[in-house]
Amino acid sequence: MKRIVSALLAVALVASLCGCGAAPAGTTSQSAGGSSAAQTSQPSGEGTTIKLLNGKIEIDQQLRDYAAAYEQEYGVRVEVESVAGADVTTYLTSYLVSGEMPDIFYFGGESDYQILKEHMADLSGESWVSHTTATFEGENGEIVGFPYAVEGIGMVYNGDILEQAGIDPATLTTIDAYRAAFETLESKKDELGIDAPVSLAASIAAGCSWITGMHQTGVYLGQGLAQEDDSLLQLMFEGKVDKERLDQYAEWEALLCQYADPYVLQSGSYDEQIALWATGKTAFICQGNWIDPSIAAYDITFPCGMAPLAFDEEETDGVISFPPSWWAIYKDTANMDTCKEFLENIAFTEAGQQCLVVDCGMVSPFDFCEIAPETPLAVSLMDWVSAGKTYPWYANAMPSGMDESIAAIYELMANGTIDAQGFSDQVESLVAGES
Amino acid sequence: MAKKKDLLLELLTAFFALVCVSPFYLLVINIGKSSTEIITDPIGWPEDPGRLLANVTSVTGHSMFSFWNALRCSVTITVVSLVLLVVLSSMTAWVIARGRAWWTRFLFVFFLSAMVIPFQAVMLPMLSTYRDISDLVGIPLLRSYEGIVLAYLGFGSSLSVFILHGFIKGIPYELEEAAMIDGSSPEGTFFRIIFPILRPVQVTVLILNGIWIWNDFLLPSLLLSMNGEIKTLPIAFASFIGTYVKQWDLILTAAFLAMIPVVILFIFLQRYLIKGMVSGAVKG
Amino acid sequence: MKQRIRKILSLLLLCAATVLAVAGTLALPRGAAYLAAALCAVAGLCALPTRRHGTIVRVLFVLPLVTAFTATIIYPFFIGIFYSFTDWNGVGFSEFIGLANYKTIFTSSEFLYSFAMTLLFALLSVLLVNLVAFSLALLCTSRIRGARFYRAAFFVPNLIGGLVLGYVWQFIFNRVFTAVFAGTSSMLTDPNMALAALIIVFTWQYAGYIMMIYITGIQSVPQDVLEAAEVDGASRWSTLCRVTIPLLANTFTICLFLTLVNSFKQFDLNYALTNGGPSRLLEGKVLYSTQLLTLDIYKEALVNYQYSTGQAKAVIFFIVLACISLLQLRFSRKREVEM
Repeated sequence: MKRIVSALLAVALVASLCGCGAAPAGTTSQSAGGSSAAQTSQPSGEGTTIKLLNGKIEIDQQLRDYAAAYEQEYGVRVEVESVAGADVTTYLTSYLVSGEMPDIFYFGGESDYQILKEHMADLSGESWVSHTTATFEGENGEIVGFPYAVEGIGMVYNGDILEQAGIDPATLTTIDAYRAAFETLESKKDELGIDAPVSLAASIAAGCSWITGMHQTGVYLGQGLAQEDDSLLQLMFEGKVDKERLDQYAEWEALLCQYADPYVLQSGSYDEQIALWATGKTAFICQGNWIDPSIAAYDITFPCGMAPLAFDEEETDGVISFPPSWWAIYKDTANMDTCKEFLENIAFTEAGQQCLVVDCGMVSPFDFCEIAPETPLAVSLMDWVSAGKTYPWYANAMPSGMDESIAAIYELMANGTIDAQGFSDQVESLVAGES
Repeated sequence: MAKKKDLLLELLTAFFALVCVSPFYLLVINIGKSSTEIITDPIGWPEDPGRLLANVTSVTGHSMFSFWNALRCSVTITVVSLVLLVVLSSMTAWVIARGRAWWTRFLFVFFLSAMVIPFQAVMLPMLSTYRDISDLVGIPLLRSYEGIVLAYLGFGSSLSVFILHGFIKGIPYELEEAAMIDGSSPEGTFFRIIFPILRPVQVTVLILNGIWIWNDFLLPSLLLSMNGEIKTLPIAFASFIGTYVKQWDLILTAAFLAMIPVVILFIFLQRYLIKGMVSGAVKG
Repeated sequence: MKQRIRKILSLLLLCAATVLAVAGTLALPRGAAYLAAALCAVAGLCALPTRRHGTIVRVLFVLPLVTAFTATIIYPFFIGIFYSFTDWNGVGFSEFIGLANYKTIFTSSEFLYSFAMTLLFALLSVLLVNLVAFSLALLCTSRIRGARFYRAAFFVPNLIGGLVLGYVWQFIFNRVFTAVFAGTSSMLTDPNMALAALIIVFTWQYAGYIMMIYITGIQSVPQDVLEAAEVDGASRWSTLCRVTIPLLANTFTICLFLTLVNSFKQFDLNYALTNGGPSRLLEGKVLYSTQLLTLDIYKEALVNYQYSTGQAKAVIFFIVLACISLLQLRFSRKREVEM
C-alpha cells in the first residue's frame, strides 16, 4: 500500500516537475508562491530526519539555514554535518563501520566514487537529470551524483589595479600576455601600491597542498580542452604525461611563482593568500568563485573578475568550470523518498536556488535557474558559462595521493630548489611511478 | 665573588624562564588583535585589548568549534576514564601483588610487556577490533563514550598497574592477614583496608593519566572521528583549524581556550601535579 | 540458614544471568541485555558460598581491566601483525600476500627517509632535551631566589598538548620570528631548519618535565657527600662532574629512556607544526622533509588508504622501538653497575 502511494506521489511529482521544466520561466515565479512541486510530495517525509554530510565547509552555515527553513515548511529534519572535502571518505568509511551512514553525502569525484560506489543509489530516474549536464555518471552509465553547483577557477584579477597599470583583462589569453602584464605590474609596484603581481600559497605546513597539488594541476588537465575530454587524465592513470604540455604548464607555474609574493608563497596559508589579494596588495590571485564568501569579509570596493588560466602560447579564451563535487544518496537509507524530495526541492524551488546561488555564491548547474548570482566572481563565472567558454576539470579525479606528491614538487619550485624543467621532469617521473 | 656568580645564575635562570613563557605571552597579546593587526604587528601590545573578549566569544560561539560542548565531552571522558582506571587498576594491581598463583605472575608480565608496544602499532587493527566487538555485543564502541573509555582503560592499564603494584608490594601483608582472621572477605579487605592506603599513589596515577587523556589527539580522532557528536577539546581544535580557516586570530583564540582549563588546574594544584607526574615517570 | 539464603540468591542471580544472556535481547536492546547479564553473573558468583570464594573474587577483580587491555592492545597487536601480511583495507582482506607489503615499504624512498629522519630527530632531541633539562635542574637546585616559581614556569609547556602547541609555534615561526628578524624567511620553509624547529619545540615542551626528574635525583644526592667534597676543596664544577653526575646514573637512565621513547613516538607536534613539509629534493627524489615515522604511518593508512602497508610500517616501528628501548635499558643498567 505504502509503495503504491509513494509511486503515485512520484508520478505526480515528476508530472508537475516536467510541467515546470517545459516552462522554465514559470518555475521560479510559481514556486515563489509556495514551491508547488515539493508540496505535492510533502506528506511522505513528515517527521523523519535525514542526515546530510557536506564536504564544502564554506557553505556550512548556508545549508544549515536552508535545512532549518525546510524543516519549518515540510516537517522533515535535515541534519547538516560539514567536514573538509578531502576528509569525506575517511568519515564515510568510519560511518559505514559504525552504521551511521548519512542519508545524503558529498563526494568529490572519481577517486571518492571508486571508494564509495557500492553505497550510492541510482538516481537516473530523477526529474532534475534532464536539466543539467553536470551530473556524475557511474561506471554503468547510471546517474549517482546530484550536482548542486557549478564552480569555476581562473586568474582572479583586481580590476582597478589592472586599469591603472593599463592592462586590459580581456587580452590575457596567452602566457605571453600574462608575462607582459606581470612585468608591467612589477615595474610599477610602488606606483600601484602593491607588494607583488600575484598572490599564491604553496606551503605544505600551512595546509596549501590542495591549492598547488590539486587545483593548479587541474589547469594542466583541463585548460583548453573540450568539456568531457579527459584524455590527459586517462594518460595520467596509464602513468604517462603529455610532456610538451607539461613543460608548457611548468613554465606557467614557474612564472606565477616568480611573480608571487614570496612570503605568502612559501609560508602563507589560504587565508593569507586571500587577504593579500583582497586588501589590494596583489593584482591577481589564482582561485575560483569559492572565495566570494571569504572576500566579502574584506568589503572590497574594486571591480574584479576571472581571466583564463592561459598557460599556453596558443590562445585559450575560457575558464575551467565544473561541478566541484556531488551529493549521492546512500543506497540503503531508510528514507530514500525523503532524500530524493529534498534534492528536488533544493534544485527546483526558489528557496533552494536562492540558497545555492545567492547565499553560497555558486552558479546553478540547472538550465531553468533564473536567479542570477550576486557575488562578484560568481557573476564573472556566469558570464563565461553563458558564453559557452568553459573547460573541464579533472583535478578531483586524479589517482589518490597524486595531489600531495605534486604539492611537494611544487613547493620545491616555489622556494627555488628546482626550475620549471625540474618540476616537469619530477612530475613526469612521479606519474610514471618511478619516484 | 660567590655573590656575583649567584647573580649571574639568577639572571640566566630568569632569562630561560622568559624564553619558556614567552610563547604564552605572544599567544595572549595576539588574541587581543584582529586578523590584520596580527599580521602587521605580531609582537606589539594590542591596539584595543577589548578585542580579546570579542575573539573569545566569536570562537566559543562558532559551530565548528563548539567550545562548551567540547569541554563537556572532554571532562566527561577524562573523569569517567580516570575513575574507572584508578579503581580497576588498583584491584588488578592488588591481585597481582598478592597472588601466588601462576596466572597472577603471568598477568604481571602480560601488562608489563605491552609497555613497549607503541600506539601506532595497534591503532588500525584496534579500530577493526572495536567494530567487530560492537557487532558482537551490540554496544557501539566507535563514536561513543563507551568505546573511548574502554580504549583509555586499555592503554592506561599497563603503567597504572605497574605503579600501583610497586606500591602495594611495600604495604605489609600483616594488615590484610589481621583483617582476614577477623573474618573479613577478600573484597572487603581490599576496599576497606588497602584501597584507602593507596590514595597517594592513586593521585599519581590520576595525574599521569589525566594529563595524557586530556591532551590526547590521535586516539579520539580515530575512535570518535574528527567531526562527530562527541568531540574532545583537541579534536574540536583540530577540526576547527583543519576544516575551516587559517585565520590566526581565530586559531590562537581557540588554542588559548583549549589550554586554559589545564593551566587553571595547574595554578591550583601545581605541587600535586608536578609530584604526581614525576614520581609516576620515575616508577614507570 | 544464612548460608542457604546466600546459596539460593546466588543461584537465582546466575540463572537470571543465563536467561538475560540468552533471551534478554527479546525485551532489551542487545547491549543492555548483555550488560545486565554480566552484572547478574558477577553478583551471583560473588555470593556463591564456596571455599574458592577468594579465587573467584580475584578473577573478577582483574577481569574488567584484562578485558579492556586484551581488546585494545593485545588482540589488535597480534591481528595487526597478521594483517601486515595481507592486502587488508581497514575492513577486510581478500588474500595473504606474504612479505609483499614489507618489500613495498623497504623499497619506498619515503619510508626509508622517514626512518632516517626519525632516528636523527630522536638522537638530536635526546641530546638537547637532556642537556637543557639537566642544566635547568642544576639552576633550579642552586641557591637562587624563586626556584619554586622557576620550576613551575619551566614545567608548564608540558601540560599542554602537542597539537595546540604545534599551531601556536607555527604562528611564532611564521609570523613572529619573521617580524622580529625582518627580511628572513620562516624556518619552516627550509627542510633542515624545519627539523631544527621541530627539535626546538619538542625541547621547549619536554625539557621542563625531564628537569623535574633530574631535580628529584639531585635532591636525593646525600648532602654530607657534597659537604665532604667542599671541605676537600673541590670546585663546584669538579663536585658536579666527580660526585653528583656519577651518583645520578640511575636518573640519567630513566631520563634518556623516557626522552628516547617519547621522541620516537612524537606525532601531535609533527602533525600540527610542519605536517611533514617542506618538501626536499634528495638524490633526485622529492620527499616530505620532516615526515617522521608516526606521521608517515598515519598518512599511509588514513590519507592514502593503504591500510596494509601502513600496518606493515607500524610493525616495523614497533620492532625498532622495542629493540632500542631494550638495548638502551640494558646499556644503562650495565653502566650503573660499573659505576
